[in-house]
Parts: sequence; structure tokens; C-alpha cells
Amino acid sequence: MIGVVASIVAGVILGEYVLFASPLVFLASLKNRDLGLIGYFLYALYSGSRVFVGDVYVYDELMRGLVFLFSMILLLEDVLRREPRVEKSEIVPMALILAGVLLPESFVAGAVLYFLTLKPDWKTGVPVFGLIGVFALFKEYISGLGVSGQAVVFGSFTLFTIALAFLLRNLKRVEVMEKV
Amino acid sequence: MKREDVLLTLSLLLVLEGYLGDNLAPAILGFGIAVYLFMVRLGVEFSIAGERALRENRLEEGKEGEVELTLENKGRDVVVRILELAEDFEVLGNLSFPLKEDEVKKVSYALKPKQRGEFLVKPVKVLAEDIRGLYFEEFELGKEERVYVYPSVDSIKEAARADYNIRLAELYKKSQFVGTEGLEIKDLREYQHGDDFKRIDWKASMRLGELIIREMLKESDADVYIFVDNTSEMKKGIKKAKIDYASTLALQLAANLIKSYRVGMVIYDEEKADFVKASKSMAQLEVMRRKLNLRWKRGEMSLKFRLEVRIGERARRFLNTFLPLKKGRRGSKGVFESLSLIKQPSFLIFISDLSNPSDLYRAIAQAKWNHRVLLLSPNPILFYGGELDRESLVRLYRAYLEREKLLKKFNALVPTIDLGPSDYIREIAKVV
Repeated sequence: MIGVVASIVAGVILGEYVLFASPLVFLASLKNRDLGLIGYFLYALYSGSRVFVGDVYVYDELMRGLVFLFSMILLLEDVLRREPRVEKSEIVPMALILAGVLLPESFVAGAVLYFLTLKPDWKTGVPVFGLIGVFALFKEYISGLGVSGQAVVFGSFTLFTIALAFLLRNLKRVEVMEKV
Repeated sequence: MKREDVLLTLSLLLVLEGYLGDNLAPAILGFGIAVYLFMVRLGVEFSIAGERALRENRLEEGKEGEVELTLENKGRDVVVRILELAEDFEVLGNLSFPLKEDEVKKVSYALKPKQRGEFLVKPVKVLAEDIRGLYFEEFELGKEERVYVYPSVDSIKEAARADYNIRLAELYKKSQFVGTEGLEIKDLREYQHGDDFKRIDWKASMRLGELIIREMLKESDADVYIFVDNTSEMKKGIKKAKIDYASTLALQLAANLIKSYRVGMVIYDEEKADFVKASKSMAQLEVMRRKLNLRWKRGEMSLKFRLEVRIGERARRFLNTFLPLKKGRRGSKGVFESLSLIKQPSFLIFISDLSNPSDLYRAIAQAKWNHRVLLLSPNPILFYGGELDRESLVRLYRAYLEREKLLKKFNALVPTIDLGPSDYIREIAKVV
């Protein structure tokens, strides 16, 4: 349920009302996980075109990007878990997320805290800190590339993360519309 | 397509959207989704242990045997689904449930044998799906176990009843059987295989030292009603429809019987019934002949047969839910209406292909209380007029097996005679 709340708060912070439609995606997932997944697919593509972030080196822009990113990832978590109740572990992160209306940094802190409660493997940090490192080390070069140049850096790290994911774990994957 | 692939595609599309749209928001989200999947992949851990215990390995046919499964989740939270790889058993119980980390759970479910015999039950398959529904793992628990299924008392009784009715149907084929029997004894004769035990004359049997049967005088004033099934399935056929055969048979029967009995007719379909009251005149025959000008749908193959063979189990379940909503698919209600109109005990001859077996079964079971019933069933498989290739032969064989089961069920109720297009109508009419 934290993802739906986060999306609505993000909608207020970013002033983008398309994010208020997130409960519909969640409701669709409660009916059927695959329906929710397809709904999320379309919703993410559409909302991605509505929220604008121009440069990650500008603090406000970076914060907008992070608020959008975490709200959508939390929503994805909700769509996949299909848990309508608020769990105990979600209370503190949710309070921080709600405080994000006043202070956007609190929103980001709440989201990060939520993911930390899931006890992620340390290897998850490799692509994240790798990306931060590259943006920090090559600041002058990357900022000169413009928006599409920065998107290419994100794209490269996306491919790297996907490759890493498949190299490190081999799992049997569930088909769409198939109930295991 | 896998669920994970949907998210990976979305991730890459978002990066592309960011690049082409000069907007970092979708690109950041694309990267975020990839990291999220990476985190979930690394966090998934499947480890299920456990044991299966069959309470009894000697079961009775049709009776459930309890199975207790102990599961221990040594990995992360999962949703578990139990799959018993036993085709000869029906599995009953809740077989899907969540299992938390370090949780130990005892689950009970039942195995109901479909047939008697000796079976080898394979180890149970447990499918564990992560709580986000992206990944799964299979586990096999327990060991192979031998299960013996014995015939139940009920099934023996039913088989005996079916056997009795089959023999009775044979008798129908051999001799004239219509009409109620009076109290006067016509003759005494030796017991023959298939004779009703109630007619044994015990005194005469004692005197002569062998089983003797009383033959009673037949009263010819009993009414005979011929029930003709005119539902949509009967009307279909490539070259010749079952309804053609059924109406010719009904007319021949009526023509033969009207010499000695009052004959009536009921032509029923999904919605209504046409009732011709029993009467003993040649004009009655003409009335019935006019009523029997039933049309068949030329070139249309039996829908039921086509569905029987072309679609999967899931689709069939869906159709079974959906089709009754269509008007008329609920079965032949007209038959119940007309049964209520026949007041005095009569002899009823049903002619039906058994395409609406549940309704017909209820109707016949109801009719059996007051009347004597005989069922003549044109076999849809023998009326198949399409091309015969390897695929259609397999389909026909499956349909044949299902029909055999159905005939057995009806035979347990009333004498049932299976008919094909090559059965000579005149002869059937004569023997009945």
C-alpha cells in the first residue's frame, strides 16, 4: 500500500496530477497480477513523458527525478506484492514519505528506508554506487553532453545492471498469465 | 513471455523514451526498474523441505483417502502450490497457500480414486513462487507409494443393476415386451438368463427340481408414449441427422404398436414439448406423422462433438459456465412438462442421443416411479459423417469412451439400447 500513498504524495510534490491515477493500477493488480503489470507498463511510459527532469547536476532537478523514481518503484512493489494492508514495517517509511509534502528530501529518505527494511543484498549497491561514482568523477564531461548524453549514461548502466542480474542468479521465471 | 521480461522491456523502453524525448525522468525510472529487478533476483531464496504421509494405502473406490503434508520453508516468503502427479486420483482440498520464512505448516488434503486397481503415487510436487510472482522453483517431496483401490459396495451394486438392465435390454430385442402384465398366469416355463427373479414360481420350482418362471398374460390396454428428442444436437449432421433416423424409428414403432396399444407421442426440445395424447386409431398415426416433419440443419456438424475434441480443459470449463446462459442451453425442460401430463402408468420409449444427459437422466429417474421406461439412443459417433483421418479417429475414440461411460450410467437406470444408422429400424420396431 506504501506505493499508492507515495505516488499520490509524489503527485503533490511534482505538481503532476497523472500520478494520482496510481490507485487504478493497484486495483487492477488486486484483480489480476498480470493485468496490474500491463497497467503499470502503460502508466509508467505515459507518466514518464509528463514529468520533466533536465539535468541531474541541478539539485532541484535531481530531487524531482528521485521523487518520481521512488514513487514509481514503490508502486511497482505494490503491484507485484498485491498486499492491500499496511504492514508494520511500512509505518515509519510511510510517515517520512507523507512528510515529503513539506520537505521532498524526507520522501527520498522514507523510500530508501523502506528498501533497506527489505534487507537487500550488498551487490545491489554495485550499479547504484557505480552510477553515482561515474556522474561524480566525470561531472564536467557528462554535464557537457546535455540531456540525451546523460540519458545514454543511464541507459549504459541499465544494460550493465540487467547483464549483472542474469549473470549472478539463474532462476526459473514465471510466464505472463500463468499461475504457478 | 515471462513477467520479468515485461519489466525488462519497460526498463529499456523508458531509457529510450528519455533519450529521444530529451527528458531524464523516464531514463532514471528505467535504470531504477533494472536495479529493482536486480535486488529482487538477489533476494529470492527457495528452500522447501517436508514429508508426505498417506493415512491409508488401501482405499475404497469413490471414497477419499487423507494425505498429510508437512512443509518447512527454509528460504524467504513464498506462495506454495501442491501438485499431486496422480492421474488416477482426484485431488481435493486447498492446495495453494502462502508460506512465510522459517514457517512449518501441516496441510491436509484428500485423494479420491477415479477407478479401482493398484496405483503408484509419485512423490508430491511442490511449486514455490516468490511473493512478487516473478520466479519459482519446484521441489519433490515424499517417496513413491503404492495404493490399492478396492471396489466399493455401491459400485458393485450399480454394476449389478447395469448388468441386469443390459440383459433386460437384450430381452427387449428378443421379444415383445410392451404392455403391463395382468394377474392371470399364461404359462410356466424354465428360467432363462435375464429373467426377473420376482417371477420365479417357487412351488413349481420345488416340484420340478429346477427354476420355473411364471409368464403372465399381457394387458393390451396400457398406453405407450414415444418421446422424441428434438433438441438442437439431434438436428445436426453432415449427411444425415439423428433426428431423421429418430423420427423414422418413432413412426415405425408407432405403426407397429398402434395395432395393439394406445400410442401417444411427445416431441420435446430445449424450450417446449409437443404432446399427442395416446389413442388407438389410424388417424392417430397420421397426426403423429404430421408432427414428425422435423427439420435438420444440413451440413452442420454436431457442436457438442466438435467441442468435445477441439478444445482444452480450461476452455471447456469456461464454456460449461457460459453456455448455460444462452437461451435453451439449460436442457430439455419440455420433457418434464409432458411427463406431468401422463397420469396413468404407461410404457415410455425415449429416443434421444443423450446430448443433454443430466436433464434426461433426471426425467427418466422421475418417470421410472410410475412408468416402465425404455431408452433408444442413436449413437452420435456412429452418425459421424465427416472425413476420417488420424486426428478425427482419435477424437471419435475419445468421444466413444465418454459415451460408453454415459451408456453405463443410463443402463444402471433403465434398459438402454445403443443404435447406429445401420440398425434396421423395421426390426427394432418389430421387436419392441
